[in-house]
Amino acid sequence: VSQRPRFEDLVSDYQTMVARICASYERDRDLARDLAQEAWFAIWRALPAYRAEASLKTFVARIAQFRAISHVAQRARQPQREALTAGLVDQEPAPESLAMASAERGSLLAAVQRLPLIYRQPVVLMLEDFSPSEIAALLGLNANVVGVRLNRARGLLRELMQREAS
Amino acid sequence: MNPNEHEEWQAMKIQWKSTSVAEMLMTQQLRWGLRLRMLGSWVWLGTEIAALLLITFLGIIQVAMGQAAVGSCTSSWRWSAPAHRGGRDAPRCAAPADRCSNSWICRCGARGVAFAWPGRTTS
Repeated sequence: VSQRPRFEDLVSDYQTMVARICASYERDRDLARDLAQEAWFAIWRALPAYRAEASLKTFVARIAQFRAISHVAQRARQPQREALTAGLVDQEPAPESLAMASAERGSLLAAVQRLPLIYRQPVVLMLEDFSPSEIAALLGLNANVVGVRLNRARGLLRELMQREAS
Repeated sequence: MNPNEHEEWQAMKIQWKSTSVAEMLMTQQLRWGLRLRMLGSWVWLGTEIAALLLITFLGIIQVAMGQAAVGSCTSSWRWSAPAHRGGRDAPRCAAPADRCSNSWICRCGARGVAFAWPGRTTS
């Protein structure tokens, strides 16, 4: 009989993974933070039903992905709004300075954010160290389909990053 | 996967996992919000249970006072609402979490009680 994992341990172990998954589906930093919170809340609620049929990492990544996709679908239904940031003072460090600190990673993240959803899903999981067969199981797809999508996505990523760099 | 592809993925993975300040900031801040939401969920569940018990108690008092119809209506109304909700969400909650579907999370997620009951999930 497997013991139910502690939620706090899950947060410690996978918080950066969930943050990266959420950031790849939402460009706005505040909305990405809300999305990460939604994802963790869903994980907390689903935790009593965890049966150890898959690894904890898969369990967490799957729920985070589902929440992110739901978020994208919700956002697509909402009318577009103009950002009213001109006169507002941000209490946090300037986004520019944070972005400069991780410029290289930012370019990859920006490229991932621009990928079509069908490519973004397997790419995010691949970058999180899931194998193609695990990705196929997680997304409910054929392994060959995942392989093809990853291959195409890799080409697109390379192209997007080169375009951004030039 | 050929060696070139493998190397390219490895390089991207390293780039992807390099810790960013923005991410750390995000995770520290969301912990507090998450704790508040978890607390709120339990408070909500507690309030639901308290309301259920209180109205049942009032129903019993009404029956004891001779108003059997009013008392039974009051109690049965309060019990039927969570029973209806439970019956609707049970098939989704019974699915193993490893295979949980998006709709399952959305439907149950909208109601704190659905997941706050650890004993309700059976495979």
